[in-house]
Amino acid sequence: MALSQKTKEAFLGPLNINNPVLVQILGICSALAVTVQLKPALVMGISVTIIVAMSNVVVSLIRKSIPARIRIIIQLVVVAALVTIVSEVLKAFAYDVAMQLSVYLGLIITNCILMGRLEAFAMTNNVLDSLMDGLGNGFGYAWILVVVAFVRELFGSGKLLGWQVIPDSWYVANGGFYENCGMMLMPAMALVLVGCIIWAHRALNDKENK
Amino acid sequence: MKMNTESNIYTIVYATVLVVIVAVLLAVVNQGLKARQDANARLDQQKQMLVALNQDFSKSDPAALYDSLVRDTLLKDGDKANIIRFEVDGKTKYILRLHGQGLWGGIGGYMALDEDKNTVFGINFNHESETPGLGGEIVTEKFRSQFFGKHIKDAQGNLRSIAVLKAGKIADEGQEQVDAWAGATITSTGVSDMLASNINEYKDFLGTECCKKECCKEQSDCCKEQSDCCKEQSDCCKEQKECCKEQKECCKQEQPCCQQEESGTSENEKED
Amino acid sequence: MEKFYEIWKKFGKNFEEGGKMAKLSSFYDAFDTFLFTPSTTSRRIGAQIHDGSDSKRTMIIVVLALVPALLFGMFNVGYQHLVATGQLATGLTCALWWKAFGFGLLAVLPYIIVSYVVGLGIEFTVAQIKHEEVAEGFLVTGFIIPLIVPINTPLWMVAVATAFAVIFAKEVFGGTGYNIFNVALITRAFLFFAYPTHMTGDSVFVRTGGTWGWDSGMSAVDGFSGATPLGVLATTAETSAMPVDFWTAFNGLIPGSVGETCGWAILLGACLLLMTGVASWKTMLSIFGTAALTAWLFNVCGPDTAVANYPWYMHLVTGGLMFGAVFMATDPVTSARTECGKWIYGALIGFMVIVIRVLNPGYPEGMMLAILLGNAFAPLIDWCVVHANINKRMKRA
Repeated sequence: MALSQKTKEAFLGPLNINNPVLVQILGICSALAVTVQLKPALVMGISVTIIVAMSNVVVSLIRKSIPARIRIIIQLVVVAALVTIVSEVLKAFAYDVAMQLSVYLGLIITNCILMGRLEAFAMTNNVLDSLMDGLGNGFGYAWILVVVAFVRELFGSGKLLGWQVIPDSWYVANGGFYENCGMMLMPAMALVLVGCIIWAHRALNDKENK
Repeated sequence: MKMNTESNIYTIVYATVLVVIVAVLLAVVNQGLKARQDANARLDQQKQMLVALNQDFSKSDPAALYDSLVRDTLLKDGDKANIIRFEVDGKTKYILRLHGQGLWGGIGGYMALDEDKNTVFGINFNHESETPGLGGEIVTEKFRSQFFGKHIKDAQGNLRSIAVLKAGKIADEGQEQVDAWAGATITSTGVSDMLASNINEYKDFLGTECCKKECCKEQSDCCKEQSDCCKEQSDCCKEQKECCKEQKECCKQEQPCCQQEESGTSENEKED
Repeated sequence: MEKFYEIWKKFGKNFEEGGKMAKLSSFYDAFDTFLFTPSTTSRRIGAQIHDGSDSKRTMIIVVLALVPALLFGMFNVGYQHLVATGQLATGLTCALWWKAFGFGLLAVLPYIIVSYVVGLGIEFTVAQIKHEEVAEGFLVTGFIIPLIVPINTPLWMVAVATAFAVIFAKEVFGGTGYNIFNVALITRAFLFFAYPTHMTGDSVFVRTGGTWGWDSGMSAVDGFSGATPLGVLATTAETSAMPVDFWTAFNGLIPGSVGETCGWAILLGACLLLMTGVASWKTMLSIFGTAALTAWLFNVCGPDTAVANYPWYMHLVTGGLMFGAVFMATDPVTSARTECGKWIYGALIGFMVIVIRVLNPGYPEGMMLAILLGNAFAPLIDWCVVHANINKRMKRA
């Protein structure tokens, strides 16, 4: 089945040109909080992707029946229900990750990306496009998280996904010269890294535009 | 028929129906997963205790291992204090839960004691938000292992805890010590204070054995100078009845003290 | 000299538009203005005041003012090494004096080189990319960085921190003159938060091992503690502790970051800065006054801890307070610019440094954070002062 141009655009746009984090600067709060290690960042990225896609679909399905006056509340209820379900599932099947994500999982409800997509896209588009838009935005958010978390875990803890990458013998404590950068463990550094990605993104896209 | 989606009645009915659907859905999910979630939370605590018991659970099932070791709960006081009895390789071990304050937030842990309620068999620390690389290092094997084999009582049986001190400093006489983590002075002091205050909280269980040894046998400070011990019926005599029971002559002068305490004694012994 | 000038200018032709090395023109320009008065003047439009003192000259004055603190810092690094390894048991002989200085020179020099190479390297690169002149701001920053780090910090950490500070605290804001925070302090703050084990504690401020193999194999004598006076206070249980007396601290023979310990060396620099008008006496006076007052208040009615009981005059001479107040808080770019604002800015820093020292045992030396906080508030202070003035005059009109 060939997808229409619009459907493709709904999926591909948010990955690069119209990225929710890099261009719209949405969802920054959670991007700072869960990117200390790669694993929670991956889980967060997947959770948000699932929730955006599903809530987009649900809202798109019922979009014609939603009373305009309470549409924001309805959207919020849909998102909150989905977030609660995901967090319950995580607590049951990935307990330590759920503990690490702690409050930020619940805060997906207030993640601006979700409400933004529901209000701006799902309310006026059909189910397939909404699904694609949700997946695109979810992945667009997730890849930023993964890149930031990769750098932070590698330089902040010397590990990747919990595996020691930088040899133990390099560390000062073992007679080497190396030391993990504690700054990487702080939220401030995530902001700097996101800034760097935006910098590179702008520089690349500006060149293309010329 | 096209409904008027902007009418008040439609709006109210719509909202009600949606909320009911969502509520039912969430209730079902919650009930369906509750057992698993509780099991996970329990397992997390059990793993921490197994670490304190120096058990390697990387290759075996931690829950099964825990079940094979645990015997009974001796004290349960909400989330804070509690004492659980274990049996490791045929020997009784007690695990005491610890809680205290580090530099930035709470710290906690589990301390495993040998049957003598004196020798530290193992210990495990956790923390909320200590500085990674400094205070955060209290969870490492390198820091924990210093405690193994240390004693929380002095030769006379007085509760002394274990001091966490900077290299070069010497603890008070009779108190054993471990090295603080270099650069993490405040967190190390927090661990030291946590041990002291928590061990004091558990003194009912651990027993200040001053009566048995000093007060009654040698008639030293405990009975003579610290008259509160027997006269005012404070901790010392209250909790350690063997002292007065077995060595009546010690407390002869303070006869009322000992008689009154007789009943409390039996209860204590049952627990032990 | 004139001969050299001619050759230099001829050489400069290569860098002009279309010349062989046109891409490196900012390199040439940087050295040209460093050596000679710029030949270009501003366009003759409107009223202008001309002065031979451009920002490069201003920077040189600050560097000169830092020299006493640096020289003494070098001596103190060696001196503390001798104390720690027990070589001063027989007193300070002439030979040991020179050994202390030589040791310190060798220990500090690599930091100066690393700081300048990394910082200027980035400055020159950025200038090439943006086709701009090389800004001179790093002359001072690069000189201050070695003075405010502990002597045992690994060089690569200093390099990373310097690169971070120059790029993220300066270049992204638009370069010299546009930065919100003092770049040297950002370097230190980065080190402080990224590598806390190398920035706090007993062993980082005194080099007990060797330097380039000299005196290696030595170890600290028993009972020696390399903690700074404030570091001692933050951890001691004794509530009336006095790790050093006033004159020892003022003379600077105590452990600490390289340039921060010696009171008179810093005051010497302060005199030069004030005489040439480079730094503002209002900021300095305000910091010292408020810090003394705040510390005195804690003395009188603070909590009963060692730091709170520490006499107010001792607070002024220990830690980085003097160095920060003279050389860093007065940085014309990051401090408040209105005259009234300078008083408020200084007071904020003076108050915060004591509050941080007394109330947060995690940060025994509060000057770095206090100045960075002051930097953050400086624009707001200026805005308030300017608008207060406007309102006042509006009423008068």
